[in-house]
Amino acid sequence: MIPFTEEIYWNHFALYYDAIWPIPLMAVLLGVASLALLPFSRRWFGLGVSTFLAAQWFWTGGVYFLLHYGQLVWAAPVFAVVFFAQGVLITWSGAALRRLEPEFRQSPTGWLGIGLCILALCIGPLMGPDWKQSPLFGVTPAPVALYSLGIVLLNKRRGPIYLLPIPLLWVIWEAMTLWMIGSFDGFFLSLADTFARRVEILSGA
Amino acid sequence: MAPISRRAFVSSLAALTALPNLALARAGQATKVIPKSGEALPVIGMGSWMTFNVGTDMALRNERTDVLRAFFAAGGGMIDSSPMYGSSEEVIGYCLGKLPQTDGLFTATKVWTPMSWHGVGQMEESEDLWKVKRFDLMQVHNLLNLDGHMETLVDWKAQGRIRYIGITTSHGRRHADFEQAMKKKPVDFAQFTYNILNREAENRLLPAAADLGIATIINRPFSRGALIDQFARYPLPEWAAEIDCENWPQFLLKFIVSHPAVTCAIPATSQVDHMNENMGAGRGRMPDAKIRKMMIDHVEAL
Repeated sequence: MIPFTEEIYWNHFALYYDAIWPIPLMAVLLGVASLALLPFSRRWFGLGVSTFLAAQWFWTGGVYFLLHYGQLVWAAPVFAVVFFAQGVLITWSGAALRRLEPEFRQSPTGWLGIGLCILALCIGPLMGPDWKQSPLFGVTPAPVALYSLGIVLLNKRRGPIYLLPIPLLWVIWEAMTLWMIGSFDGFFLSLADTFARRVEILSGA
Repeated sequence: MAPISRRAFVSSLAALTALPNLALARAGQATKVIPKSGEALPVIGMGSWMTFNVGTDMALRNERTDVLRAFFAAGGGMIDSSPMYGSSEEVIGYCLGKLPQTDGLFTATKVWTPMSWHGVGQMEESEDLWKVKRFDLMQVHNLLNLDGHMETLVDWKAQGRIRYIGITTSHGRRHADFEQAMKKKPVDFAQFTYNILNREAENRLLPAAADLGIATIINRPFSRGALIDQFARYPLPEWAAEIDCENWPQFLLKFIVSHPAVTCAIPATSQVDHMNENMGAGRGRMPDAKIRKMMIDHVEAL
């Protein structure tokens, strides 16, 4: 059971960004850069993306869950431990084993990976009432989970599948949270509205 | 003290004649007696699940202060919370500290941990968060570690660190265990769910409370707002005026608190106008058994 209302949920993001600004902006810029550099992937690129990804999990576990979300939810320290564990897994896989080497590929898996990374960058403003009252890329759990799934799907070789369960579980948990506070319908209506507007623009209507 | 109109006063006197265990307190609020002590308690209290968990958001904290101000102005008494509700206890403490008058405040919270030693620290932390020297009522949340916490609570009550002991549940499936706890433990209050569409408590818990002389607190009176959402599109029946109902929240709350074994209901809200609507349920005439039956038939036909 979620112990806060929809209003409180969206408002807590704004307070969080006030405390950590301009980290969210820097995270978005790094996220865009990581996608822009994808077609030019070199050996150092995998290490860079792994470090960036692990940093997101550590930051979200330590700063978001322990220092901020913990005011609202008693289970936040448990979530923090899970996010730290995923950060360690990514560090081990990406930096120690060098098994995380994303690259641009024109395949269904590749496009799905790109789509998830772009969704991670854009999902915040689609979810909340405005951009500041929404989960932003790199510093809040839902975008971190989506970006991680995308990066693993973009891996050169078959991705390390042990990196998938925690992000997948978090996406499910986030969807349940939205449903329980009554925001689930609003999110999909917003998504459909954005999609319809894009189609209108592309078709010249 | 909030002014009371002549009409409300006359209506409130009528309430006394309708239900003999009702009395009147501040602002025309109906009260009922706590069986173990004879103390009067306003029939409409306030829960804090979800609504008061606003963290450090000062704008929302000040809005909640206004909600509590309206609660006390309308003669409210019991405020109920729990360590499980995130920052709710801290926010309640902040709001109470901002209010110049909290006359009639009846503080109720819970102990919620599987370990008895941790329960002591948790209850002391709750006192700090609420900024109170002692709680009126301390309840074992969802019967968690009932035996362990009950020992502590009996000890605390003997020392005067709390005034009453309670138990709570919000799970319908635990009514049998809950009834056993009511019978076997030295319980002054029992808190559980009861509303116009969820009347399971009428089978065991409410009769047991009446037999054992235990005060009852009713949580989820609107089924977390679902009942208001469900009925809001329909007009109130004309005869609702006979029991001084002006809106659906009052209709639903008057149904609950008019049950002879119910002591008070604790609706939660984050808005002043909703608080005023809720508190209106404690004023005016109350439904008798015949009208309670009409209320059930009416909502079940919607």
